Amino acid sequence: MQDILFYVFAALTLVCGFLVVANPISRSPVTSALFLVLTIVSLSGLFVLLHAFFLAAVQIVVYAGAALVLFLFVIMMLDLKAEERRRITRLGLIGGGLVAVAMAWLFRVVPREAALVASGPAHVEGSTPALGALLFTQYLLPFEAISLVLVAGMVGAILLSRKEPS
Amino acid sequence: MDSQLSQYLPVLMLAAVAVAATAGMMILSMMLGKLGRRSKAKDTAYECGMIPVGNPTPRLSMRFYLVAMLFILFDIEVIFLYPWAVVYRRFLEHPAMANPILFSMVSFLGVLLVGYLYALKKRAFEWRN
Amino acid sequence: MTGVGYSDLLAALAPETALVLAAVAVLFVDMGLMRSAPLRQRFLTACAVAGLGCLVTLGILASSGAHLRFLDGVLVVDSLTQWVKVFLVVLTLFTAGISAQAEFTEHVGEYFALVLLATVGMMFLVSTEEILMIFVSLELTSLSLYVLAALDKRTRHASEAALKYFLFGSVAAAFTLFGLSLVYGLSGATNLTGIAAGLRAHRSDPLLAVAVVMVIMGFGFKVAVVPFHLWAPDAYEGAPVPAAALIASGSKVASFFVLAKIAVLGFAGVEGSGAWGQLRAGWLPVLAVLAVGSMVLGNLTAIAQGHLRRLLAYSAIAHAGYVLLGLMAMGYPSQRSAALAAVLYYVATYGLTTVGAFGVASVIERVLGNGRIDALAGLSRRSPLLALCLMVFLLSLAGIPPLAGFFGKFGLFTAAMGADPAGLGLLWLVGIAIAMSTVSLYYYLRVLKQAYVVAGDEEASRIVVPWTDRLVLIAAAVGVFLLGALPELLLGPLARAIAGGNGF
Repeated sequence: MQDILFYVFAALTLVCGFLVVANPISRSPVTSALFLVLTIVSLSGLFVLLHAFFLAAVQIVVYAGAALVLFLFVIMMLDLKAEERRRITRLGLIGGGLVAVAMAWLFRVVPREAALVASGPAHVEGSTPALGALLFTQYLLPFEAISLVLVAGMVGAILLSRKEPS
Repeated sequence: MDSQLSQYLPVLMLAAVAVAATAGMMILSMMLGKLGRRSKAKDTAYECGMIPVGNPTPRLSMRFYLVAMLFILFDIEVIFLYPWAVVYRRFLEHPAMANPILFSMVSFLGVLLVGYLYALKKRAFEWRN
Repeated sequence: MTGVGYSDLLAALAPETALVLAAVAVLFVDMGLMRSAPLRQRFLTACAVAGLGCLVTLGILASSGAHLRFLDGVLVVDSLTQWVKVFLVVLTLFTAGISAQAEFTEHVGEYFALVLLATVGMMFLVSTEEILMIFVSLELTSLSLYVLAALDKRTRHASEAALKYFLFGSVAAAFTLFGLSLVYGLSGATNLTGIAAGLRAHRSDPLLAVAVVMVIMGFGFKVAVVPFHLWAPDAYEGAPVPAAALIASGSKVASFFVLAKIAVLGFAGVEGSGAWGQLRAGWLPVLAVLAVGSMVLGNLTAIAQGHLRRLLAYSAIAHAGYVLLGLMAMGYPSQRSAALAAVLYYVATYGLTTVGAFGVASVIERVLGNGRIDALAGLSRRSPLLALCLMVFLLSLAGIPPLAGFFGKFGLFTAAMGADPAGLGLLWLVGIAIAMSTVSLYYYLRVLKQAYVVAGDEEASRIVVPWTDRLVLIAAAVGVFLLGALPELLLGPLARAIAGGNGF
C-alpha cells in the first residue's frame, strides 16, 4: 500500500512539475502556478509517507497556502502577454540540455560511490514532538534569529511596496 | 502500515472523494448537459452585445502584494507555534525547562510584535489610504 | 532533554541584544516622536540613537572576556569573535556617521533599524560554528542589506542595482543552502567540527566535490569574487552610499571570517592542493582559481572605470582575491594562526579604508550631484580635507607604506609564501598578486591626479564638509595611518586572541 502510494505521489509530483514549466495546452502563468500547487501537495504526500508530518504540514500551510498566493498576486500584477508569447530560445535549449546531461551524469555516478548517512528506512524521529524538542533546546538560537529575519522582511516589504511621495 | 500513517488515511480518502466529485461533475455535465458543448458562434457576444476589447483580467493593485507578503510572514510565525504547542507540556514537566520553553516563545513573539506594531503604525493593514 | 544554560546564553548574547533593542528604539523614536520634524533633524536624531546603541554594544563587548561555547557550537564566544564583532560594530558606527547628513529616503527610522539588524546578523555569523545558524544569520544580514540597497527609490538606476543585488544574492543563498544540505547529508552533523569528522569517510565522494563547490560558490557571491562578481559594480554604484559602504565593508568582514571557518574547520581534510604543478582536488584549488580570476579581472577592469564607486567595486573584487590568498594559506596547518591574523588584519583595515572612501564619495556626490571621477577636478582646492582623506584611503588600498593597506598585503603575501613547507607552492599566486597590485597603483593614482593635479572650475566654491562626516573621515584616516605605522596595535591582540582560542 505504501509503495503504491509512493509511486502515485511521485508520479504526480513529476507530471505536475513538468506541467508547471512546459504545459502543452496552456501557456498562461496562472495555470503554471496552479500546477505548482498540485506539485507541492503531492510532495507533502511524499513527506507523510516518510513520517515527516511536520514538513508535510509546512508544505501545505506555507508553500501551497501562502507562497503560491503571493505568486498569483505577482503574476496578476504584471503584464503577462509577453510571457505567454515567449517560446523556448536556442540558448535556453542548449543550457537546459547541458544541465540535463550533467544531472544524468550525477545520477549515474553518485549513487554508486556515495553512501548517504540519511539512507535506509525512515526513522520515526521525524515526528513533530522530536522536532520540537530539538528546536527549543539545541536549535533555540536559530529559532530566535528567525524572528529577526521575519521582522526585517516585514519592514522591507512595507517599505518597498510604498509609493514614494516625491 | 503503521498507526501514525494510518491516521492520514482519511485525508487520502477526502482527497480521492474531492477529485472524484469535481471530475465527475465536470464530466457528467459535459456529457448530459448542453453547457459543455461550445462552438465558435456560441462564444461570441450576443447579438447587439459589445465585442470585448482589451485585457479581460485587469492588473491587480500593489496592495494585494503587501497583504500577501505580510500573510506569508505571519504564516511562518504560526508554523513555529505548532511544534512548540506539541512539546510544551512535555517541557513543563521538567522544572529546569519550564521557564525557558515559555520565554523562548515569548521572546520570539515579542520580536514579531515589534514588526506587527510597525505594520500597524505604517497603516499596512488599512485597505484605503 | 538536557537543560541548557539559558541565563548564561542570554548573558553571552548581551551585545546582540543591545543592538536589537537599539534597532527597535530607533524605529519607534523616529516613527513616534519625530514624525513632523524636518528630514535633516530626523536623520541626525536617528543617527544619534543608533550610534549610542553601537557605543553601548562596544562597551559590552569590551567588558566581557568569557570563553563560552554553547550547544555544540551554535554560539561560540571567545576573544577572537569578540574582536571581529568589535570591527563590525565600529564599521557600523562609521556607516551610521556617514549617513547622518543623508537625504535619500523618507524612511529614516527603518533605514537605521535595518543597518543595525544587518549588523546583528553579521555578529551572529561570526560567533557560530553551526551551519543552520550560519544560514539563518546570513539571511538576516542579506535581507536587511537588500532592503537598504533598494531604499533610494528616486532613480530607476538605483532600483535596477537593488534588483540585481537581490537576485544574485538570493540565487547565491540557494547555492549555499544546497551545498550545506549536501554536506549535512554526507556527514550527518550540523556543527563544523562534527562535519569534518563525518566527512573523513567521504573524501573521494563526488557528492562532496559538488557540496564544496556549491558552498564556496554561495560565499563567492557574498564576497564578490570573479566569476560571481557581476552584481558588485552595479550595487556599489546604485545603492545609497552608506548602504553600499556597509555592503562593501562589514558584510565582507563577516563573510570572509565565516568562509574561513567553514573551509578550515568544516572542510578539514579535504584541502587538496593549490600548489603550482601539483593541483589536487579540494577547496584550495577552487579558491586558487577564484583568486587568480579576481585579482586579474578586478584590477584590469578597474582601469576602465569612470565612476568613483564603480572603481571601488572593481578594486573590492581585486582585494577579495588577495584575501583568498590568506584563506588558502590557512589550509596549511603550520601557517594557520599567522594566516588568520593576517586575514583579519587585512579585512579589518580594508573595511575601515572602504568606509572612509565611501564617506568621501558620499560628501562629493551630495555636493556635486554625481560621482564621476572627472568631477573630482580641483578637489584639493575646493576641500583640502576631502582630498587628503581620499589620498590616504586610495593609497592604502594601493598598498603604499606606511598605510594600513601596505602592511595588510605584506602579511597576506608572507603568509601565503610560507604556507607550503615542501616548497614555494603558492608563490605563483603571490607573483600574480604583486604584479596586479602594481597595476592597481595606476588607477588609484589616476583618481588622485584628478583630485590634485587637474585644475577644475576656478569659480567653484569651497565644499563644506558637515561635522559628522568630518568626524568619521578623520577618524578613519587616522585609523588607517596608525594601524599602518604601528600594526602591532591590532596584530598583537589578534595574535593573543588566536592563541587563546580553540585553534581558530
